[in-house]
Amino acid sequence: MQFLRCFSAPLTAAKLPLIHRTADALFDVLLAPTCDQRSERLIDALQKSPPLAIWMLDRCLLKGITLEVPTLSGMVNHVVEDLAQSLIDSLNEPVGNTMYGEVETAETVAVAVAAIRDAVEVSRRAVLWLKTKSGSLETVTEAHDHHQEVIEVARCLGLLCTMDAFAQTDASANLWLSREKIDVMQGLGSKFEPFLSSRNHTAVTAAVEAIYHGLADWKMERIGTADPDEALTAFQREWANGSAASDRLRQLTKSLCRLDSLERDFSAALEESKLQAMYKLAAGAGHEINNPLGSIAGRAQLLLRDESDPERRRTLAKINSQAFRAHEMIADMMLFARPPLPQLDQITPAALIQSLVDEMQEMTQQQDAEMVSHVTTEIATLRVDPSQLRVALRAMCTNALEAIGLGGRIEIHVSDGPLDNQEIRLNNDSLHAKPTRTLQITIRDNGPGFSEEERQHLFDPFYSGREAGRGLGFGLSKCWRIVRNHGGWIDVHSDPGRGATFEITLPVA
Amino acid sequence: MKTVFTTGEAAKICKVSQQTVIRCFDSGQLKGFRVPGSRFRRIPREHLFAFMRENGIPTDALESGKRKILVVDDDVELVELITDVLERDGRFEVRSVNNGFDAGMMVKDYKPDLIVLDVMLPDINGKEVCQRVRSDKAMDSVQIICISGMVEEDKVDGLRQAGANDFMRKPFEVDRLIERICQLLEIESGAPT
Repeated sequence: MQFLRCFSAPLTAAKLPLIHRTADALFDVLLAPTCDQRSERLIDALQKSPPLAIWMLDRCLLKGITLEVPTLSGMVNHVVEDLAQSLIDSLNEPVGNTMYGEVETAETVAVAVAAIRDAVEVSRRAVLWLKTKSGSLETVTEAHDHHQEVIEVARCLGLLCTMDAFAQTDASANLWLSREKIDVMQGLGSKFEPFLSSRNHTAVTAAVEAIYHGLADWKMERIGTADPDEALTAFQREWANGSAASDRLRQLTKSLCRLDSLERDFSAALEESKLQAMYKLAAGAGHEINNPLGSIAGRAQLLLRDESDPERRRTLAKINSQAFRAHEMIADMMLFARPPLPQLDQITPAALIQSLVDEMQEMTQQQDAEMVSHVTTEIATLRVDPSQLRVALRAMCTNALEAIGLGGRIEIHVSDGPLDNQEIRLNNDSLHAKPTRTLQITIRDNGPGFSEEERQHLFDPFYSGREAGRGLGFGLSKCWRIVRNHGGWIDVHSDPGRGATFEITLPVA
Repeated sequence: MKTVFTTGEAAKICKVSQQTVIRCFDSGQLKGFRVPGSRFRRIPREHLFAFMRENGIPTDALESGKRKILVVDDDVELVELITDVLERDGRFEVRSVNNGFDAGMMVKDYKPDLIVLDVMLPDINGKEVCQRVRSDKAMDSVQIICISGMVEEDKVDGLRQAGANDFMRKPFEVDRLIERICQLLEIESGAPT
């Protein structure tokens, strides 16, 4: 019965069968005089609409109408593969900017989930039915094998493998109907998660939940009649139920998608306006604060000229340099709020890292620390803004140096990896070219690390994790901004007390 | 006060080319001497003064012997600082104004050799002041150093196109400012003893 839900949430709207057409097709099958003809008509129906065919098949089985197992197998296979493929396709397609695209994805997922479940259910029932009909051992075995196969397909999709029921054989096949279906759905949700971008995640979870609720309300009543009229009425009733449930589902996915996209737009707008406000503040501050800073620094320099006392000279030099430091902070703030567009150029990652390590050498030695680099990537060139990337990496290294204190160790590791669809989707807007691989620059230190709370604020401008000695000022924020502007992202891991790892991932065009 | 001038310096003060000064020196119209052991020409102050008077060249530039700087900034403290720095140097005569309008008036009256110009003025912005100065042919030789507390890299180009010769960020090193001024005015950097 749950197949009905497939009707009104089809893969493409064009395939939506009209109710009378469906009924006609069903009668055709039910009234077919021979087993062969039935199979033929079913196959015909299968080509037009897999969900329709499965539904009809279900009807046939319930009514004890003989069907050949191979037909059954082919049909279920077809449905599972077809839907699984479209599910995978839709997941692999880049997320469109339109809401329509997302709704469609969510619906496709919902349909596929329902259909795969149906396929599994039909094949299970086929086994059961063949057994009660005392079919030959061969046919039962075949159907059983097929049932296993279908389960395997579903399992491979990663959709159903947490369903305990599917781990059971047909001996306990009845179990899964009586089981709490919430387990199933939770399993579905959790298995789906890794495939989905966060955009679709909410919508799909909701879709799966909606299917679950539709099923929970469902009473497994059977029509139990051979009369075509009665069957039609019953079918119409079920169809209405089913389509109502599926309409609800569609409404729900739509509104969830809308909410999701609103929320995303809102956060994007919020982030943008926060940066704009910060830019205005920094620009105003630049004008207002840099003037007095100019006076402070200039006066200190003049006094320094005439001063001969070493202690006083030091003090004056400090006043001067601190005024410049305050200026740097304002400049950083402006840079963070409105960074210049990357001026892309080819660089060699290995050379960049080496020159960076060389540059940091003095600072490292002063701290009696150690900085080593390993380059294992085969990516020879990378298209980035060389000076910006340098600023970002220097900020990371400086941050690590500040964190480790005396005698610590910093490892820089450069490697590459395949592109993860999910991540790229999240950063899709800022990509310059279609990337195929990613370059990872990992900076690991053995400093004190940071807590979860600190981790959340790590890239916030001016966030101070004083205990850890990290995150002061703009270094990491700048780094984050630059990496984002290059279409990349930063992952951070830390065990408090055992160091921290920053992993910068950049797409390689 | 400077008592001996090179031909280049004399040319600047008289607002003629160095070649003209050399010609006049060699023909004896402009009296002077050659540095012993070399062929470098040097002109004592009084001879230059006499030469200028004979030829009807305004002598005010020589009278002070100082290059004229106009400081334009609405921040009074900073104007005071820059004025202070330049006057201490001893080679510059300094006047200052606090807005773009006064700057425009003063440029015409005072005819400075160089303007230290704040970009963010309360009335007319610095870029416009640059453009106005540059639109007047008579002020072609006026050098302009822009200073600002909030200029992004990409806007510096705009200032240069508008006619600024140099740009400095606030806060700045005062010695650096003097250096740049000297460079633009083609005088030796490093304060005279």
